[in-house]
Amino acid sequence: MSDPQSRNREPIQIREGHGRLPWWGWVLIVLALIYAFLIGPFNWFPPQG
Amino acid sequence: MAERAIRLWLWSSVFWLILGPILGVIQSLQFLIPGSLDAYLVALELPYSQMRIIHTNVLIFGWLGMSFVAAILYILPRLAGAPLHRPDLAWWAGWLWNAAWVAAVILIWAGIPGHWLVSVQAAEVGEAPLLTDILVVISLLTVAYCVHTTILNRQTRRLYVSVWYLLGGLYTTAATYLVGNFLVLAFSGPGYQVIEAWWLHNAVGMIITPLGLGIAYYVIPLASQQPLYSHRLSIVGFWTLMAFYPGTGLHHFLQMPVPAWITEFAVISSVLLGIPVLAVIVNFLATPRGNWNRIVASYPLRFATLGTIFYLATCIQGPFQSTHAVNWYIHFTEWVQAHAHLALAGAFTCYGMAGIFWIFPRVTGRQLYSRGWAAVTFWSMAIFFPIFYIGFTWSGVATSASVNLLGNTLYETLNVTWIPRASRTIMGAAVLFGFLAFAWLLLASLWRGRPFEEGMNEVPEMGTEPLAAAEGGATA
Repeated sequence: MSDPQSRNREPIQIREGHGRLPWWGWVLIVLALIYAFLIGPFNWFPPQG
Repeated sequence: MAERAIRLWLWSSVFWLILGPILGVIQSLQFLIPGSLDAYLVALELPYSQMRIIHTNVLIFGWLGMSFVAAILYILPRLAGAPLHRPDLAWWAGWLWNAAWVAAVILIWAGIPGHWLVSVQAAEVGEAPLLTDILVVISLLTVAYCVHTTILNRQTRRLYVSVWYLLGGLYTTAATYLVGNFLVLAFSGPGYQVIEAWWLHNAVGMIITPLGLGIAYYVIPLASQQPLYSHRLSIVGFWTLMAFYPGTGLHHFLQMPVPAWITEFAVISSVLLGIPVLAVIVNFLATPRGNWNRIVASYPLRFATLGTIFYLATCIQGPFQSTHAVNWYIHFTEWVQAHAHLALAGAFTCYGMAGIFWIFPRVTGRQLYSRGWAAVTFWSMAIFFPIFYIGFTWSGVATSASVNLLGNTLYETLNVTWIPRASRTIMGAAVLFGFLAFAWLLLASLWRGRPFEEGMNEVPEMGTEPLAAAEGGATA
């Protein structure tokens, strides 16, 4: 086993890719925007029906 | 000394992980068989109300808080390539944090009325007395000083996204905690309720979420030996989380008398949270692509992936239930607590365990000794926890139908919800058994675990030989 203190100093490099948001992700974002501004804030289905 | 501090935070978190759910199981029994435990609880002077406060506080700040800080103390120096600054202070901060929550448990249990320093405070999840709050703030600022200075001393210019989440999360934790436990005391009436709602939801959104996601961003690429899927998505996810989350709190109190724009702002913010969630989920699930077989060998990856599935479920549920159309039906029912359990006991507990399974061999020098016990914990979370959650949610739906549609009193609903409540108690006990297995595995590994070398799997049966470094993947 290596010395714990020296292990703590070993830098870790995590590589990162350049993946893109898939097309269905954009569809979900548009749906979220519609739901957020047009449906969510309004009381469309009150308890009284 | 740094490893000593990490171990203190880690072991303390495991202690709180056992205490909190035991109280949870006892509470659920009280709903299932009311009065069955009265003789014992009266003798202990521990009524349901106080037990519930202890349950929520020790799990959020004891288990999740301490396991996340253990991960911060481990991860940030490695990403910075610099030793942890003043690890002795981080160690003392751990004892201070423990002292704060031991004091909280005793003082909440004692229930001393009317004292400015030691009485329970009237703020949900902020019930801990002022004495605890003061100790927590000192401890938190100490940890922030240690890790911030470590980052300032870093050798690398680039800050990986985990640093953004973990360091940013520490500062949002400090700000949120100050508002929810100090500023809230200066308000009353609707103003108080607005501040309280802000704190209540941001205890999850600005404390638990950034810290938990920061750990997952670290563990998933390393455990799957793949590069992170998208740097850009990780940054978009971080900033949209910081932009949309703080405004969501008031969706807890949509029916309260405040200007409508405040509640509408909360609803809109809640739904827009789908955007950072999407960025996070895509990154977490796309990163191991091409090397998913690592999920068999790597328990940190298993738990991080299970946590991501729970996170996705809770983040789909959250925006819907925050809207008026759904909220009137589920408000005042156990649906809400079920949702909180899905996030905290499901998603973020899995992230906490993923972090601990990753850290443990690397700070103790011991492999986890048994694949079997790790599997017990994993499958209890993968099978029993969802059933526990469904029983909890079902109980909420049945309660609402009974009260809102049939006009029954809340007490009368006990007759129509005993099946989901029984399921909740039995499955909750099964999940608790998984937590006990987790604690036993860690403890026993101290003397039964084989020596660990960097590059080995965390669990010996999965291969004692060092793993080959993935070509083009993460390097350790």
